[in-house]
Amino acid sequence: MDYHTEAHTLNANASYSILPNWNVSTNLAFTVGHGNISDLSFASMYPTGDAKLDLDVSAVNPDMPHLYDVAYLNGMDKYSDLDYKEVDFTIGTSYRMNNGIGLNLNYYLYYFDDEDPYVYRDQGSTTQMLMGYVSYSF
Amino acid sequence: MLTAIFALATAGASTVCAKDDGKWYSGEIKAGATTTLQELHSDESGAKGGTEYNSPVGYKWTTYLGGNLEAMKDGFAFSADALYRDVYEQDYSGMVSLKRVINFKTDYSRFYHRLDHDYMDNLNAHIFPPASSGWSNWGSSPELADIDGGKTIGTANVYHTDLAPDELFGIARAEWKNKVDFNIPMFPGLKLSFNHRFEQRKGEDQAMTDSKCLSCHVVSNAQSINERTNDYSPKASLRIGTLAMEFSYLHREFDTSNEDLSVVYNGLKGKELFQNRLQYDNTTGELPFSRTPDSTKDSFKGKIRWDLNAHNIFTANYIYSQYTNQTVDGAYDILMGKFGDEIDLHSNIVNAKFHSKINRAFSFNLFGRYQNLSNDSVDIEKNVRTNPAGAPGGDVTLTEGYINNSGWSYFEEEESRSSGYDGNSYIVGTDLTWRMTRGIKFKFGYEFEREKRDNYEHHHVPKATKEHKFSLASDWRVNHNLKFDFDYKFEYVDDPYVLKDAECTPDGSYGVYAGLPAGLYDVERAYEPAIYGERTAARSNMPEYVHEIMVKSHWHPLHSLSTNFHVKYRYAKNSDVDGKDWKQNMVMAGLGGVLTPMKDLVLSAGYTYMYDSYDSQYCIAIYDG
Repeated sequence: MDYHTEAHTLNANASYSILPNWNVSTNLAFTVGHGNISDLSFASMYPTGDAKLDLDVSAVNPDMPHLYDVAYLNGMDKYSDLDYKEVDFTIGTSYRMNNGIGLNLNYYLYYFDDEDPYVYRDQGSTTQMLMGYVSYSF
Repeated sequence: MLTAIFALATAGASTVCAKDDGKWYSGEIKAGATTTLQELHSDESGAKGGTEYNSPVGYKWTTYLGGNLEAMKDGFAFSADALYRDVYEQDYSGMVSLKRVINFKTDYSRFYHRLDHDYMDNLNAHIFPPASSGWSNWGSSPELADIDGGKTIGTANVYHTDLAPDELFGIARAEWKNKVDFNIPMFPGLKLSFNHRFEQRKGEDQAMTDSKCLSCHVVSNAQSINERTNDYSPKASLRIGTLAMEFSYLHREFDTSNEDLSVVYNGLKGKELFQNRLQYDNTTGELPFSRTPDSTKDSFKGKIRWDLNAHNIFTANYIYSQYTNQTVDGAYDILMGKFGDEIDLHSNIVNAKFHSKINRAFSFNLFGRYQNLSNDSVDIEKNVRTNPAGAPGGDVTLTEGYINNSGWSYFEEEESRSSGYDGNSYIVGTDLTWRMTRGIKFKFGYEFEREKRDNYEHHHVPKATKEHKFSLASDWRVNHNLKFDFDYKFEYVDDPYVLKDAECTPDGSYGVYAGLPAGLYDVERAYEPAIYGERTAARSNMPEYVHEIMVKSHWHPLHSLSTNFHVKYRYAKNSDVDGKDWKQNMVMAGLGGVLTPMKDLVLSAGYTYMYDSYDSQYCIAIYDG
């Protein structure tokens, strides 16, 4: 059985002072992540000679004719597949007046894409926020 | 006085600095709001990424209120910081200093962590509903009587019950740290301190339990969480000439008032056959699960540092710790994790290090560490039940059944489980640093560790493990603009930690259907030896050999441009296991740069790559009975 995880992360930042008292900055982080189990397989082996364990259930599911068969576990490694994409983006500006009053405004984007949901189901989401505040320095 | 300091300081804080403009105080007040443009939906409550620890994203509007204040005058210094966004996201810190004789710091923070909801869909991995059942979702888990209801399919299969399927889980974590120092003017070098830390986890989490033999029926429910930790730690530091000493004591109290959850276990279809094989079923009524005992920790620490001269320094410390589980009364002690007695864990640790600078080119360290762990064994007394009169094999307990049929006592009605951590370990090592030139430096290291386990037979692990670690590191400063770091580590482990008798046979040949049992108490078809006895292969996820190499560089090709690059590769292997070798391959690499093309513009970018791969072997046993 093999298990591997892989992640690529890219980030970029920029900060620019348009005026001595006026600054604009932005930040971007982008991540792609993968993970999976592979090479996990079981040969067919099922109980015989027991009225309960050797029950013929082909009428219920022709693809799984025995009540128990170790080979039915094949494919469960798909539950381990992980495939994520994540973006965090921020842009903001701050302006400071001579009388100690400052203005600040920031925008946030959070994006998370869950391509292969597992037991916690789809954990993907997209949210955006806007934050603003006034400051006074003394 | 202390009360006044405390009241002032709990408003918040940062560092204190002298004011350039002659003012003895400065500060800032912030007021605003946050709005969520795209709200988090209820089905995204367990989302990862930027929302996992972000409380305001759960509201349309939240406030943004903050500020800081710094003041310094006549030997009195004060600073405070505060930020309030919503009831779950707050930060406050503060500091007061009185002529540096009394220094007080406080720090409080609170945040919210959205937790996952495990819908247990994976438990459907190897079951399928019979067409005649009419159940669209097997995981909706009807009662056993309904499952069995004339049908045989699935009675021994895994299914689950989620008693809170729509619940959203999350924990608010709060931490409050306080520290006060007294520098005694009459005794220079003497400092008395007292630290206090309070931590609280409050919210709702998902709790799980089994309610059938082994794990065939998994039940989950929502549980209100309220856990509190209090640390009290006095400390004394004294410096006399070249000798410095420090003594501290820690008392920790962990208390819980979590919701008491209970579950009714599944009933038994064949009571006459299986009553003596299960300790509990639905006839016992509600049984507790997911209980956490209160506990305490007491720890003593002593440290010394002796500067023999300007080039030779000796340091050492000793730590004694004791953990104790509290509250041991009541029925169903086993189910509540109490095991009939308080459980004590004891630990002693001694560290010592000698540093010597021989000359400008050479210096070395000698170091050692000894640790022992001694934990109470857990005594378990099982709930022994007797089959009803008229049952096949008679009205006997499980032990009596096996004795009557084969003379073999299989079931241990009482047993003592010793700790796998009991034992001792020591480390000795040295490293030598050689500054060959102004720009080239080498560091050679060797470390030997031996770990001895007291209860290795009970836990089927090696009696002792010896590790040899070699390291070579070098710094190469080519010029003022270019620098390289090279590191190589090799580790060899003799008798790495493996679990003996972990799974199937060494050649993986275990895969034979054992056939039908000869009778109700057929020893050969019991879990031991039918399952345990067939597991003879040793497995591990710990390495026997490790190679690790790392290269880092820093390059400043222009005054306005700096770059960095790093790559690390790790290869680990364990051939001291049966079957397929255990292997790990890991690569981490990254590059980044900062560009300042003009005074008012800063650009930076970076890329990181991570790859981690493991090879292992699994062997799965199928057992019915």
